[in-house]
Amino acid sequence: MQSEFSTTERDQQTSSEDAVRQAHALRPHSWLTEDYAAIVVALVLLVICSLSVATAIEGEQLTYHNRLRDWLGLPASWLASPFDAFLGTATKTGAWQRVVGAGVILWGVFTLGSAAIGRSVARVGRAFPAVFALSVLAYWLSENEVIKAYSLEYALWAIVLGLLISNTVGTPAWMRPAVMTEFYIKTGLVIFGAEVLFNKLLALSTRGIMVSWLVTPIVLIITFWFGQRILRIASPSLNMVISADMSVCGVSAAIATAAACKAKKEELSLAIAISLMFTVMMMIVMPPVVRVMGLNEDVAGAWMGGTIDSTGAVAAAGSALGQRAMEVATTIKMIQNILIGVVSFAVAAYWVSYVERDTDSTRVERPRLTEIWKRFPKFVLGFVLVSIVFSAINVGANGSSLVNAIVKEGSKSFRAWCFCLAFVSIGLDTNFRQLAGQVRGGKPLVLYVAGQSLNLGLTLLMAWLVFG
Amino acid sequence: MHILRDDGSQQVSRNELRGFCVAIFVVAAMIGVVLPALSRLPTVKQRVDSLKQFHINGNATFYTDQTALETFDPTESRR
Repeated sequence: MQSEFSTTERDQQTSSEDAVRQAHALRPHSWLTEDYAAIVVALVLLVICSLSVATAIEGEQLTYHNRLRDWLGLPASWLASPFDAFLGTATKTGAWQRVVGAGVILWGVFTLGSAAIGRSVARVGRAFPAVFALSVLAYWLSENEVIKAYSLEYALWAIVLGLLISNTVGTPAWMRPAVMTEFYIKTGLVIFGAEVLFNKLLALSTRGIMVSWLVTPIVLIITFWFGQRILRIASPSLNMVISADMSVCGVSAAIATAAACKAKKEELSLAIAISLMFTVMMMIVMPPVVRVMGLNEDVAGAWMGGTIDSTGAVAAAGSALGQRAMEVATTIKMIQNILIGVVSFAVAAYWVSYVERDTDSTRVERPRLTEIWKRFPKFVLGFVLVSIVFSAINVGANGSSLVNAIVKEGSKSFRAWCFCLAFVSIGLDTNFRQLAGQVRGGKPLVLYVAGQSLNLGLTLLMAWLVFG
Repeated sequence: MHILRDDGSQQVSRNELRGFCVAIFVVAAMIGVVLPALSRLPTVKQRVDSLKQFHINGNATFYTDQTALETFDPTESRR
């Protein structure tokens, strides 16, 4: 996200070097930069999840489980009664305990962590529960079975709820200290690293890897080039976020690349809105189109897995054709998911080496390594390092069970809440005029449609070549 | 426009308060009326049941959120 200290007009931007200096000057009481603070907070949460792991012997096998699993989680899905999400039903236990547990831990960690970036502990401590309550409301809405069936993810509801407040009564001044979009996103991404397991890729389908890892980067690069050279989109970061969420895997890719290329919060909102809109359309339209085309389930699953943005919608669309199509589609999307680590690192490196150099009018030659290091978003390194560490753990004996206990029963909830808190913060900090300004001219929509058309064509060709 | 008081707190205008109440009403109506009505439509009901049958989490952001992956093995041996 664009630094909160920079102006919103790109042409009025100072050089990023100056911006870094200004940011430091304006934060005289901060002990750490936001990037390092996010890494520390994320590591604290990962350590909490790791220390709460307990061992058990099942048969002759050593297994792990997380003692916090009953205290960390999201609202459960609900259909008839909204209260089922928290109180549970006859067949399902209630989630209130897991929501409250996650909220209390995050409240403590973020309140203390905010001191490191120069915020008032008392003010953040007072404001955080309100922002978290809005996140609970957003997740609760997204867990409605009807909403869930159409993959209208929590990000949408979080932004909408925030916007409803900021554009009517205004975000209350007392709530603003906990509106920390960048801090939540960076922390969430470092935690997210524990879920991006590179070694899983080796065990996955080589045919799937050909579809995901050949087509995805080609589509990403060509779409970005198209946006810059043909459409001449003024903001390269908006271009990159739309290109990435369309070619990789929707919301999660948008978050990772937006943070890596320092996109503005309204650019991330717009990219997600466009992506969700097309996800719903493609999820409904593609299965009947596939039937008309007479594709077999393997080719159809690979095609849908490689083109529909959202991980949830891919499985839903695949299941409309059958179990086999669902399995292939989900596997292809899983391989694309793992690509996020590489993409965000590459985007961050490209941005500090080339894009920021080009927008810096005082500099023409390639920046030196020290300068690249200074500009490089450090939390991306935290994200990649956590990913490498957890991939290494996953390879070891019983490693998969240990990673499952830490991640699936622990840190995954923290990651989900961090991203939801970030989207609520974006809504609370954005006005409709800013959002409308991004859509003007319709170029973002044209970019998405052009990129997705290329994606559909190339993925179908590759799916037919390797699965046909 | 929000009016700032001397102590820095915000004073909310009547129009803004009205807008907020309308927003709350819309959200409440969606939860209390629209969603239950939609859930009774045969096509929607069929879709919800189908996702349940395949253990699919339609809201999954990442593969670790996808419950369907727990029902099959996505490794090379299966593909």
